[in-house]
Amino acid sequence: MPVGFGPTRCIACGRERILKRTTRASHITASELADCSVCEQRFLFDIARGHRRSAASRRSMATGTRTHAALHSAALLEISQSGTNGRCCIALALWGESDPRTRRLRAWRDQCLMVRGWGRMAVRMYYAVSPDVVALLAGRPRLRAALDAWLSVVVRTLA
Amino acid sequence: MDWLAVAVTVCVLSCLWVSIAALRRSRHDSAQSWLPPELLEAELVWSEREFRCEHPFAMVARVDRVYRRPDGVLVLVEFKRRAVARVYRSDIVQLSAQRYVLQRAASNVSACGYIGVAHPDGRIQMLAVRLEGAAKVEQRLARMTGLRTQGMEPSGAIHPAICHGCLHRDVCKRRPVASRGVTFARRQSRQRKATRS
Repeated sequence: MPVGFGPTRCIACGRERILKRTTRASHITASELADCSVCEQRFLFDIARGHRRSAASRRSMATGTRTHAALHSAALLEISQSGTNGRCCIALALWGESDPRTRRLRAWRDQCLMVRGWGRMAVRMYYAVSPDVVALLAGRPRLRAALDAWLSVVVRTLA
Repeated sequence: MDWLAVAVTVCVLSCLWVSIAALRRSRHDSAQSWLPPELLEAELVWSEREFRCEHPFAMVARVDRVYRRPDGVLVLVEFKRRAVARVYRSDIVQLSAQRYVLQRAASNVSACGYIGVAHPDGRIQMLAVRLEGAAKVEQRLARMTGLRTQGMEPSGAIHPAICHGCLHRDVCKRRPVASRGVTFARRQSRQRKATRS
């Protein structure tokens, strides 16, 4: 029974209208369910009138996002040190594990670098430096975007 | 003279390498210090990872962290930035929904999760919570679907404090259901005391 958004009567103005999607199309998120459990009326108002949050609430959300980013980079460091995922730390932080660019970089490492002496040394240096780079990226969206753009170009060149 | 320069450079680089390694180890140790005893031996498997399920409800959940205990059971951790170490009903609902989705991807997920309260001073305190079962989550999902698509009557806030900070007050006519929130807080407090004893 997938949940979709169709024409619904708006609680705010009473008119029939298409409700705005607040998140990913046709999927309920865990956060939405949590919001709904706090106040069902506010949840429906959020859909009909858009998310309205006070300045203090927005500030606290921004702080929370930064905390999450810092904890995520620490987690990536821990995962990379466990050695179970190929330790492509920066690519993992930028694009995630399933991204084709991460896989391409790993393939390049395994097929081109690891078969040469200087390549293995470069990979060791990368492993030494990359966790600190990931920690540096946390909470710096501009730096992250710049590195993302540059590395995407590098990956395209490799392909 | 050249050999001396090379030796000094090697020494400096080695010292730098050792200090970076020590710094990283201390950072790793401090990162581990807030983990509860149950998760000390566990392996961190996912961080900020999105999971989806399509049946019986189309759902998506982004988990903060998932640990795998030595017995193979997955344990969910959700971080919240708060000044007070307190668990709210919405935290449990969110974590239960995450478990519901994760159970469809990986079968063995613990019925207990952790809320990691990140204090403004940087401390992290882990609070164990018992999660809701699949039936309860499905009941909530059905209710939510009914509210959105079948025009069911919505209820008010679970606590008056939620109304005070709400920017929809100008159009809202509902009164908060105060007793539910208070009951939940009391129940949580009792559960924590029982866990400690």
